[in-house]
Amino acid sequence: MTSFQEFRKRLASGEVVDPAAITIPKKAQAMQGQRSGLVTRTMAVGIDIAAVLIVMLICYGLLWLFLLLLAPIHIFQMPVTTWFFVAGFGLLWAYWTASWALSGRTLGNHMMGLLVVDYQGNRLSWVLSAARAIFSMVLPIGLLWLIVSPTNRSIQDTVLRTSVLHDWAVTHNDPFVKE
Amino acid sequence: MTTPGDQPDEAATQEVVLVVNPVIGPTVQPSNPLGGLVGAATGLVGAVHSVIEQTVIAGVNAALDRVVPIAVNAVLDRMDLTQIVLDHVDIDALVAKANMDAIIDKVPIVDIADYVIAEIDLPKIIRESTGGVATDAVNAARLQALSVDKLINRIADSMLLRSKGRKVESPLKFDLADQQ
Repeated sequence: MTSFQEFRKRLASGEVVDPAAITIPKKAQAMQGQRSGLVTRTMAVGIDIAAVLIVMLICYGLLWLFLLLLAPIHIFQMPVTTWFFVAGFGLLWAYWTASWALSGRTLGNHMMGLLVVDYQGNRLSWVLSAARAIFSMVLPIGLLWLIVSPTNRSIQDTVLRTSVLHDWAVTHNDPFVKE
Repeated sequence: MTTPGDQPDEAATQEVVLVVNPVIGPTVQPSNPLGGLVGAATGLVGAVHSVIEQTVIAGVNAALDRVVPIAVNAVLDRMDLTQIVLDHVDIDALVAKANMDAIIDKVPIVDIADYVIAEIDLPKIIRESTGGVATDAVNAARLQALSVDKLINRIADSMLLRSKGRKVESPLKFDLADQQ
């Protein structure tokens, strides 16, 4: 058994690694806090859209079952495309706005280890978050600006002065609290 | 016993019962002049002792009560007791002989355990360890995306003749060491 004294000596000499440091692979440690690239962010967006799509399909299925209870002869119909898109856009906009304003991460960001911050590195305000969400949905191709941007920023990021950072250690404390 | 007609005898008809209680009184000593002298001397010594006890000894005690603390404090002020203990007392031997069980019984172990759990955030460690497999898969996907990002950036930079590379530092003072 390691005594407390021995443990402290080993911790001070760096022989014992803090458990929190183990969660991030060594290859990625240098990247923490840097702006992420196109593929990572595209995958995060893809995960978000897939999540919203799944939620919408579940909601539509539940709605259909409810209608079936009211009228048993109700025939299943695919949703009207226009309304489906409008609802999807609305849901995605609300979801992105709330996620970025509240925690700085959506589900896709969380999966890909990303954190959205403003120009000072703080959490996005609700207005900025809503603006970024609508901007991202209206001009998704703006993400491609990442390829040529010297600072790894999309058009939305450049206009709104936001950044999307690598922050893989999602289990540590709220990154906005530490300052 | 008398019969009717007989002349009663005065002395015979009266019964007198005398109840005698023994009286306990000072024993009358036979008069002894030497004994009286010794008794007087003993009484005198007792009286003198009583006077001394009530006046002299009480006075001395009161004086000592006031003087001794001052004297002891004055002596202790001139001595480094900690150093004396360190020099002359084997503390390790003292601790080795101490009854640790009794000490531990007085230590709030559960409170300390709660404190340690809170400090190291044990629930978080448990969450991390239980999500280990999922974390590995997620990290693998992230690393793949990261390497493709680097490749794309390198190709784009070379096509744009950007020799210095990109400025991707965070606006946040993001120090990994700070977070751990």
